[in-house]
Amino acid sequence: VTELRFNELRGEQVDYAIHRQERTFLPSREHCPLDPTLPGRPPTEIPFPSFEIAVFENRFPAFTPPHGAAEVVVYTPDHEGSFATLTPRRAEDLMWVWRHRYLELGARADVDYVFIFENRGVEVGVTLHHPHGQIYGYPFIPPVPMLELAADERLGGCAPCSLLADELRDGRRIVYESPALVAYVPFAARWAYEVHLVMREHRPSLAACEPQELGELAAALQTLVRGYDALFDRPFPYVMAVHQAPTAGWSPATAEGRGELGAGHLHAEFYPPLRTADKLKYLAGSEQGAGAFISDTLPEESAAVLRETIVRAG
Amino acid sequence: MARKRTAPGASGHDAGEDSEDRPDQDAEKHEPFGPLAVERHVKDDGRALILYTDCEGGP
Repeated sequence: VTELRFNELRGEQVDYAIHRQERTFLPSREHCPLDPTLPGRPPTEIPFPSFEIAVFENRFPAFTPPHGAAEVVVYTPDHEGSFATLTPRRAEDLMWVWRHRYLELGARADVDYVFIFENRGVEVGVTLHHPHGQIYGYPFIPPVPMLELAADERLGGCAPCSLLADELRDGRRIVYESPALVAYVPFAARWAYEVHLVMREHRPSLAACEPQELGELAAALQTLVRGYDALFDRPFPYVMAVHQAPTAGWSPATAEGRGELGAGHLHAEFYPPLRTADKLKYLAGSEQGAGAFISDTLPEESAAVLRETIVRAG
Repeated sequence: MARKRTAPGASGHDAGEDSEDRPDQDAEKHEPFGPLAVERHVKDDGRALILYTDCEGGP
């Protein structure tokens, strides 16, 4: 059972899911719950000896129907590896899985915002190492997407479209480009190696993308993660957040992939906590108490290093 | 949307039995979505499980 409480002082919802205290925490290799269930081995969350991509309702959910959803997305039956080591085809299939979940969860009356994300590395609180991500279906529009909608208002149109145009004009912070996508360290990045991967065309969500754009999105995400891993020659921890149009107020036609998807611009944001190979950026007094980020690095310099590393990593 | 089917539970599942071998699950088994086949299950504890399989190019 989960409970939402509104924090008046901060103007935000806080989700209480106290059963999550008991969730599986860094199990031994032989007890990974995201492996297939193999003969003679302990049963896992996926009771089949083989699969390609699996999605299931989280055993320790932050949100439950009829007040939202929490799902786990297992990228591969292989315990080792990462998003970057998936075959290109599997990575592209994953984009279709994300699209499927976006449409299906978004159609639910109790889901106002579908949030696809991946936490990678113990530095950001990962409790299972098997390559996987998560999806939350929030019963409200969370603060960060609300801020993006407010930015649309402030800029008089789609904020990601406007910011992408600024970044392309400047050029110094761009780290990757393909026909359909651009990745850059934002002008006012919070994290040393923060990257935003943005669709060139205005696409509110995965549901609005052409098939080849989904393929390019998968390739771009894999290229970025390979670059991150090469940066300090170690698996690079990050939070990856996929931002799309809210699904509040969808019509049945929208849920079927037709009609207006609403305000939003599909992009993925990476928040890596490392500022050097062995130093983490902590959210301390200014960040937590005042809400003001203080960065030790300049986005232009980080972008130059990351751009070169991405090329080197291939 | 395909009707939901009950998957073998983790506790009682014969791990040697592949899902392809269960004839009662063949009807309405795959729901197409882009290049994927979508296969829905319900775990023993009632949670949904969806398996996605590439129908076009393989992994």
